[in-house]
Amino acid sequence: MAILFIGMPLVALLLYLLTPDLGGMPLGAFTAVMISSMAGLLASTTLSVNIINERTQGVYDLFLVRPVKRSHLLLAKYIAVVACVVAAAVLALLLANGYDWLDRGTVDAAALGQALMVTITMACVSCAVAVLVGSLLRSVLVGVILTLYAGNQLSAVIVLSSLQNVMSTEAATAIGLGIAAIVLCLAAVVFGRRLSS
Amino acid sequence: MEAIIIEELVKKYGPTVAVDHASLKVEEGTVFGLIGPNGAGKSTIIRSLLGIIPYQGGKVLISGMDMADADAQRKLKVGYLPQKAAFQEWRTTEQVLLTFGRLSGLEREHLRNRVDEVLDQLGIEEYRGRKVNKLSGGTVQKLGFAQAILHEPSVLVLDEPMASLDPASRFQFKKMIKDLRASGTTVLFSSHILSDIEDLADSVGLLQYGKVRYSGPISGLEKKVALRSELVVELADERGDWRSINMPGVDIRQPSPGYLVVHLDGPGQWDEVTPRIMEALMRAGCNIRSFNRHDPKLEDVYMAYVGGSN
Repeated sequence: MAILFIGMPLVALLLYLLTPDLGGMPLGAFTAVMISSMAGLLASTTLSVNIINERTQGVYDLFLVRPVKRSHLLLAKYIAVVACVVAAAVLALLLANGYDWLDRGTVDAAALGQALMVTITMACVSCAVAVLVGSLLRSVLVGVILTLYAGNQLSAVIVLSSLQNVMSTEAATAIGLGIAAIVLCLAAVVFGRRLSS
Repeated sequence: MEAIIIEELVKKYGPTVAVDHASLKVEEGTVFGLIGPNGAGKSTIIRSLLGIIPYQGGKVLISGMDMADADAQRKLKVGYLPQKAAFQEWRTTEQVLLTFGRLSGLEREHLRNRVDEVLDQLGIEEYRGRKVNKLSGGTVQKLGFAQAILHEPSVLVLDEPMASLDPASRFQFKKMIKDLRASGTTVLFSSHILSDIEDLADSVGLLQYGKVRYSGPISGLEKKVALRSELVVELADERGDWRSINMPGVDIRQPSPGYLVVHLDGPGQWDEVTPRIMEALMRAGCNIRSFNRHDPKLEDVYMAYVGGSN
């Protein structure tokens, strides 16, 4: 978590400083673009690898003899990862916009809000797919590949629809969260069956 | 009263029948040993009993309740140590115990005290702050045992608990199991180390090809394979005429040069008969170097049963 909270703003700042021609783009806007793609990617691959490893090693057996629902094991991981990633993203965006305010004297609040919603949507959708992939597969390599392509592509498609003005950011967020919920339910069913085999 | 009832349990993995109408009963406050060759179904029976995997037929109960039911898990105190205990690697030893203790219903002060107690009991206090991925296999196994007894269960289920332990740790585990039995805990454990089963178990269940071939006291198993106690006599030379000895109910054979094996036809009074056998051998001119009585061990009985000689 410490690495996320420090690393995310730092990486965004570093890339901002090293990128040659941004055409006067504010740090806040640049950070928004970086964070929205990085956050989901990092979180989802970590989550799917973690679930695959723990499932194949039999870590969950000792939970199953205690009054713990199988679905709660998955949900707890999902919520923890998404919460950490969103918190890190919020911190990074606030710091970047704070820098812009000190540098230029203005902050685009609407853009900040939009960036947050995009980040949350991408994190929720890609992590939900990661949880499903982790519940289905035993191979870490295949899991990572599927998570990167299926999870992140799906979340990008949902978000792109708002960026292309097909629908509002709020509508895209609502659809994204709905899809994440459905995928999570499916993952819970698959996880329960896989643990029983 | 039976603490554990398994009746006509059937478990299939696809077309393969892993457990075939197995039935066992474990009395409260006793230690029951589950033995059998690899793939016999011991772990499958244990996992079905604990509600970890579903089964296709039969009935499995702990203290009258089905462990697949969440209500049973809340009410019953069952401890479990799997064949290979695994934990989330980023947790420390203490964090593992605190987490499982909370999930088992222990709270704050009592939980902290129990964590201190089990760490001390198992001799892993020095690893309290160490992450699981930095622990040796034996220490992980001890941590597994610690989480199994942390909440003072009334029924303890151990799957090959001593497989990866050094002799001193095995001795420690065995002492703890004996203490648990003395305090009224029911223990069901599977093991390939038959001497441990012999030391600890009040009764055994022998599994082969998914079927329970025997369930009951160890002495009953010995009677089933009709292995006899024997007296092994080592001779200093081949000069004696042991073949001339004719004692009713005594059978003397020579399996290899320099050794004689004596069996009694009936249940023997070895203490009475041994001096008479020694006297007869010496009168026959045999120079005896040493003699030893060999009672059939569980290993001999197991090999006779599983090896198909019965």
